[in-house]
Amino acid sequence: MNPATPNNALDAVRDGIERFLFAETKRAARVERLRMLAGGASQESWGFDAAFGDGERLALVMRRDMGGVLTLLTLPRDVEFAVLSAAYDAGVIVARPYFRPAQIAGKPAFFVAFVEGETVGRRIVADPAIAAMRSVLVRQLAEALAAIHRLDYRGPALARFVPPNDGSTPFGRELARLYAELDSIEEAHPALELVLRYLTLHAPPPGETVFLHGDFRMGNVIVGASGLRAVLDWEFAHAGDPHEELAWFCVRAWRFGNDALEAGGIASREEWLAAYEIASGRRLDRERIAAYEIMGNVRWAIGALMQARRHLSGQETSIELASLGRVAAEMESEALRMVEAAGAR
Amino acid sequence: MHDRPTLGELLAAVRAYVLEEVAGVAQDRRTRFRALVAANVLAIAERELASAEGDAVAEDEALHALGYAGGGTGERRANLCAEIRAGKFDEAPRFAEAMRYAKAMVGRKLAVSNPRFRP
Repeated sequence: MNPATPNNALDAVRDGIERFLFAETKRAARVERLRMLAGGASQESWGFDAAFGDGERLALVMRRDMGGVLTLLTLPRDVEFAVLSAAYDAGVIVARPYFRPAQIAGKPAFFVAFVEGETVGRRIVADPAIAAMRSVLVRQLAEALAAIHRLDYRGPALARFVPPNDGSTPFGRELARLYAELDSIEEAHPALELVLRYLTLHAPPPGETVFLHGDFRMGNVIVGASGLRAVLDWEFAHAGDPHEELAWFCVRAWRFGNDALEAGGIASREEWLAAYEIASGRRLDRERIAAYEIMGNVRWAIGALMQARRHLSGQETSIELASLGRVAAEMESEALRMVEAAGAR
Repeated sequence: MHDRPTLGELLAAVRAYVLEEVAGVAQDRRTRFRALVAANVLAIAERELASAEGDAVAEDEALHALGYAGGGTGERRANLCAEIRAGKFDEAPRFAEAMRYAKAMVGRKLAVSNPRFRP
């Protein structure tokens, strides 16, 4: 058991899951090997085995809300579950969803199959075994992303993601959201203002709109011996420009120190874009990618500042969240560098 | 007024403790990771303590050079932000001045938060 988790909290979670499993399956089940896994930013992930009376055992993961939301875009758990289910039904490589969305010990949660493999980006980009199958992994990731972008957000399952018909563009909506988030931080950031102003003045013309995962990057995928095992963390799904998603994968922070390989620390930018073009049949515009990559750096800079606010407000006190406030300068630096490079072209 | 250890020496002592006697002996990965994060946060505090005075002077002078003279630093920085958003820096020479300012300030932030970061 995780010594960082008090026993009474663990008991409350175990109790809550056992009661939910009984209500859902009408079979008694014991929760065994309950442990907190390395989690995301605004959710906890708990691994456990559900041992049913008839001998069936299911290795499951529960994703559950923590305090506060990460950004203004964060989806509630039940919507994330609906998105994950739609992706699963469409054959995207994801952990199989189980049951229905639940309330466990007072917090929204849902369940998926446990998938063995590595999620920690820093370890994935440094692993020699993964380096050996790099080109396979890049192709699998590009194919998964192309499949996600084919999900029909106009169909009934994802209809809530249809963008407003008000003349706004995906790029413009992202900019408006980032300004709103920056304002919510209540701290002056001249570098971010300058980059956002640059993006406002250099907004690409409207392009195609598709369904986006919203946080597709190293750290949000499970990688095993044969390559991609699951795409995780669907809480930022939205409709937008496919270039946004391709560029987000290239944002420097997601290279986890392996800066020579600009696409997630595992591929050159061109190799990544070409793999996606083959998988999707779509032609990508490199300048549009650059604009979205600058925007991606701003997005994660503001994301990090907002994470620190969750600590500062007392919503979720944590040394990790606190430290993120001082990471934002790295994305500011990268965004400024990219704006300068774009100006020099 | 206060006796030694100085503030910086106190922070360094806590950092050594966290590294050696918490991270160094932690049985589980999560505790060890959080202790390393804590030690890094203490190192940031130590660097900020050493450079805070120089940073304040530099920001004051840089804001002054951009044309923000009166009032406290925080207020002037907020004014700069509002005017960037309002388009007052849209023309190339003015934008370049603001870029130089932003790069210098971000460089100072990085020197405290993560001196190993290479732009």
